[in-house]
This record gives sequence, C-alpha cells and structure tokens, in this order.
Amino acid sequence: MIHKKVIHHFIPHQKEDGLHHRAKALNLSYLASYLLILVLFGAGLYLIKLKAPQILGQVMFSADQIIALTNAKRAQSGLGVLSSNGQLAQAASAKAQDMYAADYWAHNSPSGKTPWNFITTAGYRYLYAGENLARDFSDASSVVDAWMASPSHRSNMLDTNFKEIGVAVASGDLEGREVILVVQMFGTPVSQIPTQQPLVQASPVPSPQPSPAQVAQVKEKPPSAPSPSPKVSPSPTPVSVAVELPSLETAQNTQSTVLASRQFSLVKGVSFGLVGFVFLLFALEIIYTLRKNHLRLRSGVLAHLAILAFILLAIWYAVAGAVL
Amino acid sequence: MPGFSRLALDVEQLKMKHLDILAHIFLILGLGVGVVAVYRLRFDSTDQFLVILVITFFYLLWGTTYHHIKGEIEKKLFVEYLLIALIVVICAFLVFVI
Repeated sequence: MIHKKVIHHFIPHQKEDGLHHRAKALNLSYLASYLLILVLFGAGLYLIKLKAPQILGQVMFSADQIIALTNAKRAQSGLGVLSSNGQLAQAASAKAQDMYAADYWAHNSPSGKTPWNFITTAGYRYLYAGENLARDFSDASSVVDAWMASPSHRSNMLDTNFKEIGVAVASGDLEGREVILVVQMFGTPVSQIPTQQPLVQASPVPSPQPSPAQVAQVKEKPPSAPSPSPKVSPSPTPVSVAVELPSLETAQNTQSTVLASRQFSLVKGVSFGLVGFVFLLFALEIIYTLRKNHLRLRSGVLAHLAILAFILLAIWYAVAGAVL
Repeated sequence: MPGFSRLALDVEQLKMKHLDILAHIFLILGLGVGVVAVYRLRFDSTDQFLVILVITFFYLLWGTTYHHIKGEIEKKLFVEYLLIALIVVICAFLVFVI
C-alpha cells in the first residue's frame, strides 16, 4: 500500500473514481515547490557569494599557462611560437586594470582608448598588433579553447605576422560582478623589419626614384573593418624614442583566484538535476500512456517535454565565460 | 442521417489531428531555432539568456493559442504552462546570468 502511494507520485495512476490522474509530482503544487526550490537556491548562492565566498572554493590559472597553451596551438598548426614580451604584458595588465576602473567590457574604452594606446604607452613600437579578451573562465585551457572556437579570435592566435605575446589575468569587480579578465596582446616589434640599404649612384644620371619597397619601412596593412578581435593598422613611420623598459614583475606571472567555476558547476548541477527530474516525470507519463492503449495523452505534455529538453540542452552546453 | 453525422465527426477529428501535428511541428521548429541560437551564442551568456527568454515566451504563446483553438484552454492548464516557463527562466537566469 505504501509502495503504491510512493509510485503514484511518479507515474500516472487510476483512482477509485475510475479517472486517470497524472503523477502527483507533476501537480501544480509540486511544480510551484520546484520553482521555490530554485529561487531559494539562487538566493542562498548569492548570499554565500556575498558573505562567505571562500565556501565556493578557488581555482587558479596564470598568464604563463595561457601563453604556453597558445604556443601549443600554434605548434599544432605548424607555426612558430610567440615570445613572451614584458611590454606587451604590461599593456595587457594596464588594459585589464582600465576595464575594471572604467567598468567596461570592450576593446575600446568609453573614453576612446584603443588597445593600441595601451601597447604604445607601454613603450612597445609595433609593426602588427592584436588583442583577444576573455572573462569568467575557470581554467586556462577553457579560455584558449574558446578563442580557438571563434574564427576571429583564432585568426589572431594563429596569425603568422605576430611574433610576441603578453598576457594579463586579473580579478576584480566588473559591471557589479566578481569576474576574472584575461587580456591577450599580440605584437611584432618594429625592430624586426630589415633596415633600409643606402642607394649608391655609379654615374651622373638623374637620381633614380626609390622603389616603393625601399621607401616603406612599415608594411602597410589594409585598414580592417570593425571586428570582434580587431587588428590594427601599423603605427606611423618609426621615430627614435627613448624607452625605459618596464619592470618585468608585472602581469607575466599573475595568478588569480576564480570563484566562478565552483559556483557555476553547482548551479549547473542543481538546475540540470531538477529540470531533468521533471523531464523524466513527463517522459514517464508519455511512456505509460502509450503502453495503456485506452488512455489519452494529457494536453500539453509534449510541449512541456519539448521546452524542458530545450533548457536541458542549453544548460548542458553552457560555458562559463565569454570572449570578445 | 447517422452516416452523414459520423462522416462529419470523422472529418472534424481528422482536422484536429492535422492541427495537432502541424502545431507540434511548429513548436519543435521554434525550439530548434532556439537551440541553434543558444549554441551560436555560447560565448556570450547574456545573449543566451535573452534567447531562452524569447523561446520561453514563444512556448507560452504557443500553448495558449493551441489550447484555445482546441477549445480546452482553462486556468489550471495555463498555470501549468506558466509554472514550467518560470522554472525554465529561473534555471536559465541561474546558469547564464548569475
């Protein structure tokens, strides 16, 4: 008798009135309680995040890991490795700090600062430069995989024009949330282009016009249309600038704690579990109804099953993090 | 004439069956578009949440319209759709926003 009562919670059944009833766990009151559980869980998690974030645990990854993984991807594609550059790392760190200070998530700051401003301010004179951004990832490999999965970011990662790299991994408060930002700067310094050979005149003939190849010290790149991961047009004709190399103790070996990963896994697990449970109940109802030929499927069950399957798929493929 | 009324009933049932099939195909197509959109936006969680919100609203609208056409719309059924829609939205909010 007791086991029947328990079973009636999960499968459709016939009562003394002769009518068939849905599983009790699919009654409106039960559905309302599942909703309440989710709301309370979300509120509880938010409180823990505010008052005792250490409960959620910590994960760390470093700029060096990002650089190593980037070079591994380049090696897999038969490309040369990128050298770690302190100035690019400083530019990346400055960009990350600026994003926190001015509270924005974009390549260009609200005040109009471009990634190239940060690079030149760090004293790096570039021939080519590029930037990739990422936020809220739980580990270095997820960051790199996300960039590789996006065509424009992948293009930066595997660009043969880039020779050096600088990465910053920084935690802070952005748009009201505790986040981890990863700024990846690519560059090729001007010093890497071959120096111009002097022209020699053998006989008194009108001075030959220098060929375009001899005059141009900076290879022109066509101006790029706005893209998610912008590349820059080359810097103006290089001038001699006394640059004091910044200290290399800046962002190169930054390690940052990430609260997002544990929190994300917990939320994903609970949401998936609860929605999965309701999905199974509806699926059981359909199976039970199909087996009992004299029964008619309740209205709306297929639609409920479809929307629950949709959200289950979305949760399953949910990725903690975003790239720009 | 019993034969004629039976034929009319059969035609009516056939129409309802076609409506059922077409309506559910439309729902599945809509959800399919949602799945593709959520996958394409997999590195922008805010946009993913917005897509889920739109799809949930589509599901509610579909349910209301479908059951109204079938003549079986009632308060309990609407509340059931609403509760499931809210469960979906809250889950999406917890996973994609918070």
